[in-house]
Amino acid sequence: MSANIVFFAVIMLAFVIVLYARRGHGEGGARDYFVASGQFGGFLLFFLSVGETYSIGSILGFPAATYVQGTPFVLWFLGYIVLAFPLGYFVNPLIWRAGRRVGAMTGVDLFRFHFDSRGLEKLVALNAIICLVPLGEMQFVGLLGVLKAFHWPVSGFVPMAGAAGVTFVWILLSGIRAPAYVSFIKDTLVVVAVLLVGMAALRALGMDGAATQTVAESPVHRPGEGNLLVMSTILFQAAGFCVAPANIAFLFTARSDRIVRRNQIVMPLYMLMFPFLYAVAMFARHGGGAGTVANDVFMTSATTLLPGWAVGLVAAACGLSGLVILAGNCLTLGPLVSHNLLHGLSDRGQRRGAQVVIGGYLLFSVVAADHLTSVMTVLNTLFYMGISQIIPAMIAIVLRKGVGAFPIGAGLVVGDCVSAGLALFGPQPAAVNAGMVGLLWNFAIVGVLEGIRRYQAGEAAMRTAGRK
Amino acid sequence: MDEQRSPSAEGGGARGRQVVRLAVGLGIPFCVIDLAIPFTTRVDRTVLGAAFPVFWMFLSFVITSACMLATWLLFDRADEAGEEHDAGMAASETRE
Repeated sequence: MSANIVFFAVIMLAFVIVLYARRGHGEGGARDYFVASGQFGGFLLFFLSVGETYSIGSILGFPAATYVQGTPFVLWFLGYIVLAFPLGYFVNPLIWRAGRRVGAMTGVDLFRFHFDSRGLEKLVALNAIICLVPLGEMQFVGLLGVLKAFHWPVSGFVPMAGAAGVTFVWILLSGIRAPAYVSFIKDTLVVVAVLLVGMAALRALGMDGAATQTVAESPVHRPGEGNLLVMSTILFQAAGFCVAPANIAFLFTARSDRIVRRNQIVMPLYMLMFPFLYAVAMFARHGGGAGTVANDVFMTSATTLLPGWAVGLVAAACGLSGLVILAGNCLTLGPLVSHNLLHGLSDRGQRRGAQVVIGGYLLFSVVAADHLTSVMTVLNTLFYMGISQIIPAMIAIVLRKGVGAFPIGAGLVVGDCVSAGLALFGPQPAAVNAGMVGLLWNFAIVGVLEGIRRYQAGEAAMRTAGRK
Repeated sequence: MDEQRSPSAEGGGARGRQVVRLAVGLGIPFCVIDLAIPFTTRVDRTVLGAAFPVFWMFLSFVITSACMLATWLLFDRADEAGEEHDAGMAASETRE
């Protein structure tokens, strides 16, 4: 009972914060709605950006995958996130400046202005949308896992529909300010929740001498095996993290490039919660999780180790994580359709159009969580493989290099096909990250086609000069 | 002496500064996080209850933050416009 009270109190508090965030920004334009007119300071940008690190997927998924896969998973998962921060220290200010130069509202706007091609703009928007689609469903699956702890006598569809409704109302009320402001209490609660469960797990492990001795042996750890796969995944996904659609959209909310850069310094320290999540996985592995389904490791440990009110707090933290990330994804996806795919809409039309798209996306995600989980899981594994294929184009954009739209588009399509083909039909386990192989093909295609384009342009210029 | 430095010497100095900046801010974290993996996974020891490579990864959070802080303090903080150092990376950002 106390768990329910704490859970609903936190959700209500989040609503009050969303209403507060709306003050003075009720009827702003699309730019204000989606990127807060680029006026966020370091505090809001930090919580908005770092919120991605502790999504519901991380809180539930990290202990679950550590529980099943052990050390190799821990290395690539933590490695790519922490490497993305120093990479972002150098790259993010360049992306921010590229966006400010052209007044970009979405990452795809950079392509429209730099390459002067509507076709490429639509191709990149479609690529991003396909990658973003499964993320919504993943949040709902996570939410469902958390809410199971309450044993409510309703089918899974009801709480998922409720979560979709809450997210939609947040977005309608405050746009991008909703996830930014709620992120503050969400992240505070996540820190408290992870510490609570992690410390309790450590204490439980400490009481059992046998468990303490075997903690380090438990990860599936075979020296040398799969190192190249882990290393290539870290490098590839760290680069992908910097060009992910949500990351770019969040960068555009910042007031200055200095704020963007300064924030990166603190972000790795925020990952110091992961040792506690690791302890939870170890606790589950050594007795605490007897008979536990992997995805339930975190919540089962919480209910085993903590009193009712604390379980409510942990569930609320996880629930808010899911809702905040969901809102962020919605606000990234909406304008990709209403602003980049459908040209010619008025400012008000873009905002309204995005809201319709967001409503449809939420509905689809709820249905997919109920019926299409296996398909979505496959699509989710392709997320970084797809979004990272814009890296050659982003390099051209931030360095202001003149590259043709066709070579960039062809490279993107080939990179996507090679990555997805290798991931789905290639040898398992792979020796190298499939996305990295696709990206190398992508670079090669861009290089060859751009060389041909320049050669042909040079020939044409010489012929013109010869006629004169 | 400094006043008489040639433009090419100044350009070389700026490039060298850029290299050091990138090495401290990105090179060291990359080595600690990624390139160290073949070495850390060979160590069959536990530290504070975690397998050594996992402990090393946890340690890299602090090292990475310290490297960026050093880069900020040594190179970027004084740069009020925030553009000077990136100009080197962006090859003075001239459109071809």
